[in-house]
Amino acid sequence: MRNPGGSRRAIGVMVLLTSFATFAAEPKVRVTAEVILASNQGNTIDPPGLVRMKNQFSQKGFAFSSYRRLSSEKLVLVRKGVEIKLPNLRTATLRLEDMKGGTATVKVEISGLASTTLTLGREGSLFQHAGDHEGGQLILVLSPDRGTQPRRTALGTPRPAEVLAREFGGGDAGDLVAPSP
Amino acid sequence: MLLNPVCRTFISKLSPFIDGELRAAERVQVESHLAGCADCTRLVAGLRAESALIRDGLELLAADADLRDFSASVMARIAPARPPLFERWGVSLRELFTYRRGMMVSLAGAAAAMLVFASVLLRSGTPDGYASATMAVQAVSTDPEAHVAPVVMSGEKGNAIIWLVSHKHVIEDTEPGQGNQVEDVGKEARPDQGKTKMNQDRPRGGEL
Repeated sequence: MRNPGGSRRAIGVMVLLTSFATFAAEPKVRVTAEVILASNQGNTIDPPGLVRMKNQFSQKGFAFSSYRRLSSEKLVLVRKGVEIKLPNLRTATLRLEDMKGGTATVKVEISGLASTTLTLGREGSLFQHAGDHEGGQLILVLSPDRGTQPRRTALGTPRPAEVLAREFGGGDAGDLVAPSP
Repeated sequence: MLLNPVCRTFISKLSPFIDGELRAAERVQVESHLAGCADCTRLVAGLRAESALIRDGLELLAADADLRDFSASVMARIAPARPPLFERWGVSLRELFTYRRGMMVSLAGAAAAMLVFASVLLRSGTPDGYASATMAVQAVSTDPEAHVAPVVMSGEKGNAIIWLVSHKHVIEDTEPGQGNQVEDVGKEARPDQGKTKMNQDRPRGGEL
């Protein structure tokens, strides 16, 4: 016997699947955004893992003695920008500009200062200068979200900013060299 | 005793009369008869005394009885034994597939479709947006009002530092003729513009 409610249920299931597919198809990318305050006031390294960042920045010519992580957020970027309020009253806006071939292009805009466009990758990190604050300098660190890496452990495990900074090499002839003061 | 045939017709009604179980018409008849029959009146009195005696005896028994856990003990006796969890699930599923077959088939189909869909999504391997191996800076621009210039320092494995220096720290080209100065504030600067070193007047500790 034909079930009169069957067609309605089938339509409901189709609608559910379609909306799920639409949600899944909307371009979005997950990143980790950290705000680091680098300064020469004191010798605070907080968290202690930032000592690697300090060392690598020193290799690039930065002589900050203190590195403090002020915030860390996991963000889901979509075409509509996501704002991060920086402690120096500037705003960092992170926007997914494009998604081609599985590679996301993200624009990082620091209000009143600069904007950077970059393509995301499974490795690497962006250290974006975000202006001064309380006698130091703010650095916005954009990294792949930890949750984006688990199936790619052979290519490198997800690492926070302080670990990623370790990978900066000093021997790149093409680098800009900013010597110590 | 009770030889009166009229009385005999009322004998069977006396006990229901005392218990208030007669209909109104019968009750009126019995009351009329009792008004004129001493024998039946004595019999009724005897029945009432007997009933009172029985009631008092039962009340005494009830007062002596321990009824504190009466409800619980009764419920424990009448409640059926609780079957194991899996058996109850099995029964529920059998009932659902017997009496709600259409709904269960639809649900099973939807669950299967969702599983297939989810596995396709998960099997894509690379997380959304991370098809490239490393990060790469494409362009950097500065706000003209900020009077700063970007300095792009590339590291290994896609790491990059974007530092902003004021105009007094303008960068000069170390390989003349290649046009790789990044001093045009407000214009786009490419991180791969060439081998550039900072001027003698470099920022100290990243100062602007």
